[in-house]
Amino acid sequence: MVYRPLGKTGMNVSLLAFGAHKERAGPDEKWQEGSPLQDRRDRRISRAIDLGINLFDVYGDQFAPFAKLVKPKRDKVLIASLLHNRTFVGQEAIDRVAKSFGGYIDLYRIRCETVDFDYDLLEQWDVLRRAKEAGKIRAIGIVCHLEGPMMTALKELEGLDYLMLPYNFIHSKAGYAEFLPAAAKRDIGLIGIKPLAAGSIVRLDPRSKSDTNPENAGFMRFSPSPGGGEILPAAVAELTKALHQLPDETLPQAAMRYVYSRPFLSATVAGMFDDQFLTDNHAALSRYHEQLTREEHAAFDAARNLTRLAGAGWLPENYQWLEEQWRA
Amino acid sequence: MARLTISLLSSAFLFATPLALLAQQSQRPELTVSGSCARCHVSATLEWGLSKHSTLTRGRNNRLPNCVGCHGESRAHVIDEQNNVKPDRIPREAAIAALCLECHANGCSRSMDRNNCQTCHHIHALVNPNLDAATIEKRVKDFATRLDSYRGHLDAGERLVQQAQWEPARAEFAAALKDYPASIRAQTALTMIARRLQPGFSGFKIVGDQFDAQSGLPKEIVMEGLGLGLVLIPAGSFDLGSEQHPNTKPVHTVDVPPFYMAKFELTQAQWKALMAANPSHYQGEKFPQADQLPVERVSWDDCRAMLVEINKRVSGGGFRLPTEAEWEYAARAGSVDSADAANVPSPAGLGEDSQVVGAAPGAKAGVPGAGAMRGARGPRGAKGAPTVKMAQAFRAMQGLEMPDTYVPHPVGASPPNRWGLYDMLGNVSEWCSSLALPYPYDAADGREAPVGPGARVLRGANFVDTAESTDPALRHSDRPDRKFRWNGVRLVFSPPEPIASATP
Repeated sequence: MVYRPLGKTGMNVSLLAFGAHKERAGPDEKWQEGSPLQDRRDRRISRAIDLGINLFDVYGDQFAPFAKLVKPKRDKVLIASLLHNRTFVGQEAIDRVAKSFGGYIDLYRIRCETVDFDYDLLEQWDVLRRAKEAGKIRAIGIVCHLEGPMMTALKELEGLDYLMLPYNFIHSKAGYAEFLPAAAKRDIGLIGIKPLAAGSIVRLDPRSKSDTNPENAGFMRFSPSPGGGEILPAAVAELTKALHQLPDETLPQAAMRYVYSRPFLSATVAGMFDDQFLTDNHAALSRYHEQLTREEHAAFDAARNLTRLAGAGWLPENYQWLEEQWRA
Repeated sequence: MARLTISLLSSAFLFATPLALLAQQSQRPELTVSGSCARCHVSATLEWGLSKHSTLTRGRNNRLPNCVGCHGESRAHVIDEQNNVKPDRIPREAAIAALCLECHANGCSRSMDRNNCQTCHHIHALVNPNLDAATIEKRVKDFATRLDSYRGHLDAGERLVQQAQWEPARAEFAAALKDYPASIRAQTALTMIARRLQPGFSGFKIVGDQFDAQSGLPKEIVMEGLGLGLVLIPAGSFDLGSEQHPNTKPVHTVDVPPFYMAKFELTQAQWKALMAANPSHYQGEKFPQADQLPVERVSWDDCRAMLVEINKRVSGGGFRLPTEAEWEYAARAGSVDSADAANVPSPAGLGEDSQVVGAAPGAKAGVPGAGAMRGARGPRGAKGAPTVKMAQAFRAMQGLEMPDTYVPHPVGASPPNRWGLYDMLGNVSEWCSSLALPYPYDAADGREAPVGPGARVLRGANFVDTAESTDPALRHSDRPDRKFRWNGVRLVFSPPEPIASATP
């Protein structure tokens, strides 16, 4: 495993971070203690720890089983979570999560979905800061689903430790000149999210064994934009041709290598909803020291072209903000 | 040199038993003057106490020939109890001579030597070990005589103070000061007597008849017109900080002069009276007691503007924000550890699980200021019942509406701490004057500058905090223009110096 320092936090995080929060459930499967569903997930998390992954993003209904699972290895894992609501119960919610993980959470963040920082967001940030000062959180950050607030966050959020931003070979807008130097100057840790565009990049390669996020089940591979005409089949053919030049690597693996190769990212959080995701994402790390090849770049170009022509429809409806906000 | 030290000590200062010695040492003026240094360097301090240097109140280049004058402030050395950090300066040989020459520019008046001063003069006591024994003995006797006279005046003065005979007492302390011009004890007593001769300040009423024995200040006053009650926070020193949190280290000793602190956080009514506006979030029909709620959603800049207004009403001004050292000193109220500061004894008649009358839901007796905090602990660390059930909390998480329990409560609804201050560890957080700079705290390093860029300190838990945030050592800060609905203000007042006619 490759580890990188997370800004000024003093923490070294694994380049591949574990971001699954739901397991693909079979038709008759239900989440409950001891269920095959829970067992599968527990085994995968244990395997991830064995592979050297140390950063786990946890939220929703997974706090309790996850806390139970990692309790004996608490000093080997870093727990990240998200403060969902802009309400005053923040401190109490943080307390509850922190207590279940031995009294502290390593990384906590709030979500910023507006360009201008409003009063609610600043209040929520104050809640995080106070929790950090009281020793309940080690590092506080923000996850941006819009590109605009990132610079504002650097200026307005006192004590910002890290920032999470979407980053993949299609949605790589954060490579621009203003933000990265400013973040580096302040030693802000950067963590990439959506390295596979919510699983949609997986669907661009028919050879990929993994399916996408279960919440997008039923979503079709392509929804051609109106008026696409003959252009789309040509783009598909181009991508198919490019993928043939990658006999030993799938497009998602190349996509992960692309993200791993960005030196400004300390980690990338990938949703690993089944074992194959974990295997593929980890396998991509084995070639960490190799430069991206011409063939990989050709595949990226073909995929960018196809998805541009397909319009935002190639993404699930609730992830179209990626296309709107982050396409390079 | 060691022999000389022993000789000096045995001839004039040692007493029959170690306990007696300790008791006497605690009264010794040189130990008082040398402050922190004397806690460890007793012998060196006693030696220095023998010298003429110890009686000087002025030096060259603003440098007194005392511990700091020669060794520097040595702040890190003072803080470091493991003695890993040495003093700023440990002069040797030529460096000692260089220090001597700052005042004795022409060198030794006898030998005219400008180097090697320490070959004839004991490095601290200055006594020349080469002199004959009779001369040394005479000098020691002279000093002892002066010391006896000094102590006699002090004792007499203190007896007279006990009898409230202020004028005669003043004469005794003045005489003591003449014997020992650097005596802080005598100076402090004279200031105290001056205050007792003319108690009170313009614009304030004295409440009760209690006065602080050390400073002579009334223990409680109220500002006329605004009805702002203030209690005297006595002078003292305490250990600031905590090893528990990243930004509260290192723990270090800070001296605090006496000051007045408002018993309550400034209320909305008081803010309105001063500023003709109310910025608070919690007002209106839903909050019929809003006048008695603490003012909130005020920035540090707003507080500065308010101070200008309130000081217009007081001759000579004197209102200000507390420094963060003052705030923590007052919040601890004499307690050493943080848990103790948050768990003062319950007022009579209130059991451990009693609800405080008039307090916000969740206020527990014995948890001063923790009125609206979730899961607050009861006295002596007993775990209180959760004040908001988790189910309710999660219902609240579904929307942006605040549950009614997450609101400030009227000031004074929770029990006070030992020094009579309410809500120090709850209700709203309170702005301090200090810039948020790393410890150790030093009021003279620029952090108390009234203007300048940087975040300002906020202290004390508030109504959205949980019990874990009641540690009085916790430090928070924000930009001076930021305002949140859990940030308010508590005023302090610097007592004016006693008027000249009341001092000798």
